[in-house]
Amino acid sequence: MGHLLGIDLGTSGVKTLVIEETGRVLGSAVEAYPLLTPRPGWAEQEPAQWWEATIRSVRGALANAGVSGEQVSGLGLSGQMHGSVFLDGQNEVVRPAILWCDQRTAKQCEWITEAVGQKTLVAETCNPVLTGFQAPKIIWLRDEEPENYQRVRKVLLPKDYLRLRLTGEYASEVSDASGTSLLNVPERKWSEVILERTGIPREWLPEVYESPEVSGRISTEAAKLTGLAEGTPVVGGGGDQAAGAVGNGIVETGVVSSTLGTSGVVFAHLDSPLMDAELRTHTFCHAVPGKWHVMGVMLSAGGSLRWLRDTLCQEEKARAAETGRDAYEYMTEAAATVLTTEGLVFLPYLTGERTPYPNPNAKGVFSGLTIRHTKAHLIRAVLEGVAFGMRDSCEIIKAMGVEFMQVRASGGGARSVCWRQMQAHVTGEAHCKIDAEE
Amino acid sequence: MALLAGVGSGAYDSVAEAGRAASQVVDELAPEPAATRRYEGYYQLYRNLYRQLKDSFDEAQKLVEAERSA
Repeated sequence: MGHLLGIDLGTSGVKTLVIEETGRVLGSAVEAYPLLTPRPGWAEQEPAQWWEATIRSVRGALANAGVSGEQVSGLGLSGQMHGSVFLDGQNEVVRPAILWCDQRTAKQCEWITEAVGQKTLVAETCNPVLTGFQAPKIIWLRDEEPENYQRVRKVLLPKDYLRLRLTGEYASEVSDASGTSLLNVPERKWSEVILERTGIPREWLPEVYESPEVSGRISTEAAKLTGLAEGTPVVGGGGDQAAGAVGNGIVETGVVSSTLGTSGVVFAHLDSPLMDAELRTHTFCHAVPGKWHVMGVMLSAGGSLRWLRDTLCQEEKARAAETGRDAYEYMTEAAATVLTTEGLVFLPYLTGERTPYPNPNAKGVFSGLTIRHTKAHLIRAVLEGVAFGMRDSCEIIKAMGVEFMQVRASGGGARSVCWRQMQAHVTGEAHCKIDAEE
Repeated sequence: MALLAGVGSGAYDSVAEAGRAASQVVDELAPEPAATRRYEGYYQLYRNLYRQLKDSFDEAQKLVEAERSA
């Protein structure tokens, strides 16, 4: 029986997972690398460090699982989306990779929207151009580092750079490519009109596969470095959101996930490329071949609760340190001691917002404070405010005609029964917990 | 990710089958109609607050930017 290997290239580190074909996890290993911020609002990483960390992580996971490279029958890649790796004709990195969370490209987003035309752009990509996406990073290089731009022969997404190192192939897949602003999302191929109007050469972009298609095989050199067997197939893989959704079973219409991490994501499978006319949600190709997905993203979900913990809940943190429990448990217990916020409402826009208001200037608010309010009310208001924000995404997706038959809660926020129940009440939808191995 | 490799290698017939196999529902928390009704009023208040405060967010932003450049 074959084993499978997954490599997830995150923003803080790379995680390799070895699983049985049944999905049971046999072993894993994480290797970290730094995030570089050479200027305010910039976010970069060195692709060479990704590769070195990946070698260590693959070796570590195989050892941890007690599995040899020959026992691995296939490998998949997932990871941070939207970033840009610029390569010259010898596959040398031209400059550090610019990441999804980099904010330098506001001007280039405007330029692309103008050059392509808003209507064409939306019809082709199903999305607005956002500062984090790949295309504006390429245009930024053209505008700001022309000497580097002259040297570029290939542009890859972060996880696709690992594929190049593993297999020697230039390849991507539709889910990650959806976040470039260069893919025709309904037709699942590079957009000729956008490439033509932005002057980005087609030869710079890799071949695009569906997520489970074999895109290449482990090379002799990569086999030596990683301990994997030469010739092991590497499939397309997926962007972190789409790949994670497969693991959560979001693979058919009606099953929706609600994920509370730092951000809050409502993710639904689509049989056709439906989109919100006001572009408040993202429509991308799914990792399920021939299908799409839509997601609403609130920026500060668990992040709002973390902010409250770090600013106002020193007492809960101290108690947690003593007992070995989680400070969030004490906080949600306190919130449950009051049955209502008594008119107090929290707006969770601590880092601006994306869904339902694409507004970087939006701010957090406590509204309705009276002398009766205690910390427990503040905590409860934050939990409720995040639940309201998640409902906003649900309402937009429902208005697109997507049916909700089952909502699956995941992420750190799903650990709290109190919070999950609150989300069920607020949205009017039952919230399931799932036992997902990956 | 590994599940997708399982489709490529033939362990699963499809991505949908792999996704269903890897995730099982453990429990379900249902909404209580009374609670849903009570939250409705608060949700509407939440929606209205953004609309009412939107301009003040921009004003606050301007003040902060002016302070930074001073």
